[in-house]
Amino acid sequence: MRVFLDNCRTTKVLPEVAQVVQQYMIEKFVRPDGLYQSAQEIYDDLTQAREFFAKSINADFGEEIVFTSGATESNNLAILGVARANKKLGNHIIISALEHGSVMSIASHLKDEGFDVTVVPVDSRGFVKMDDLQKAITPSTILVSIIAIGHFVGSIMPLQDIGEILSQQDHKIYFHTDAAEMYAKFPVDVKKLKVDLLSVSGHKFHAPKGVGFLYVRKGTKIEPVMYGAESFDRRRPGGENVPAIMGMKKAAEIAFEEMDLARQNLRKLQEYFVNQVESQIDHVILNGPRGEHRTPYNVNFSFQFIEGEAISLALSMEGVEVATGSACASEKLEPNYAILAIGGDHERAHGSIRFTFDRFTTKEQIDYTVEKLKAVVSWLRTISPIKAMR
Amino acid sequence: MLKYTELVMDHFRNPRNLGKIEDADAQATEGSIACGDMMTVYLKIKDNRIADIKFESYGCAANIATASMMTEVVKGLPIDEAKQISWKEIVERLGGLPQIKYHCSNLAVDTLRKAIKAYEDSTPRGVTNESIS
Repeated sequence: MRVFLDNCRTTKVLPEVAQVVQQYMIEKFVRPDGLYQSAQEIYDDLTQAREFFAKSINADFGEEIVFTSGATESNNLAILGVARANKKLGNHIIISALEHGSVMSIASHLKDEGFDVTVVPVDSRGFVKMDDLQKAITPSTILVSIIAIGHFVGSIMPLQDIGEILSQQDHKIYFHTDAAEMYAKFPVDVKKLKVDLLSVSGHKFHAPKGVGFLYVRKGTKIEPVMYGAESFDRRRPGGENVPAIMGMKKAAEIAFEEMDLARQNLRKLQEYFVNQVESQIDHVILNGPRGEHRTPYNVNFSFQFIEGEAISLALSMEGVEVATGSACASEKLEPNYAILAIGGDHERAHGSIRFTFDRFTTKEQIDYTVEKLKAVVSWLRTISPIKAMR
Repeated sequence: MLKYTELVMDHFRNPRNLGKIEDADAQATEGSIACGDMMTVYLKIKDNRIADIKFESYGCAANIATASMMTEVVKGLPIDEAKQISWKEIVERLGGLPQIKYHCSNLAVDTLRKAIKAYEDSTPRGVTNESIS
């Protein structure tokens, strides 16, 4: 049995989506900027896609959607673009301690460009506290970027409260959120959340890899990060990846139909999984919150006395594919920053395993995972010198 | 994702000489939990040879596999020869390791040398048991 539980990294492309992609590769292959009838059709399809995505987040205009290669590019365009374009108004930006690695890198790059960056901490459950955010804001703050859902520990950030605080300041502060883990899984309303910029990645909801979009509220001052020939969208030049964009639209349409039911089902499955693990395996710590403020798509456990790369490799030999926050599995040999950010120590990070579902995950798969997990954890503990020494 | 050789995966999933020697002539622990790498080596010495060796590991697949290979290589060797085994030899015997994992083979060799030293320092038998930080 193969059980893929790393859906926060990526998901499978649905056959219906692949069909659309293929159609736009083989039949409707032209670019929207040609001066012929077939190009006009593609132009219309793309315009409709923009309008569809705008409507899907309760935005007013299709032009507010910029197609990108995914959330990393969307995050780059949003943060670099707004920071650079508004530098005269201030040089301070705020991010949270649970941001995606791309946002961390972008912020660090902006420091080199002379910006000040404040990283607001999160509490032990993975939430940004409004007090901390309020304290971080200065008259020179021009942009706040807070992830919608912590992708390691599943905490759903209080975006609406953040949007409220930012809108009450006496100067304009742009609000960006990386919604890669939220879009097509939860309802998103840019008006309610008061966000100005929102990043989305297609491959998190069964669209192809390498496509996404950035919502940019009308009136937002933003610079492009790439320059190209005159094209369809000057904020992001270069020919649009039409097949992937149309595939992403199809994937979103299907996701929106199934979204509410999927969340309900996954919530039950998540509770079941957490209960099974906590009742059958000793010395486990659930990383992140419990209950409704955690995405039902994520479970993250630390298994004490053992190391996560060994756990994940042993699990993969049994067909169960997961992610780990262990330093041993990272390119830089650093323990997972999200576990450290919620107050965990290095051992807790090394022993952490992230299980992320898609809406097709079944109880049978969860039962199989628990069975294999029990065996692997027990085996690794028998060979670990630590428990014996305690 | 790091790529391991088949032999590394075999030693990871079926480690040789795993466990504890209750009446060990010497033992040593190296590494720390904070680093995500820790190993204990137990030795039984007879006529200045490693008559038996066992290990326990808290660590990644490379840690377990290098420890396993190290024990296989030195078992039966005179202790003077065992001391000369290098981490490179262990890596070569495993068919290579990702460069970022070389420190795991270092740990295996260091723990062995520390256990041998504990044996040599002891008269007639010595046990060093490092507490974990």
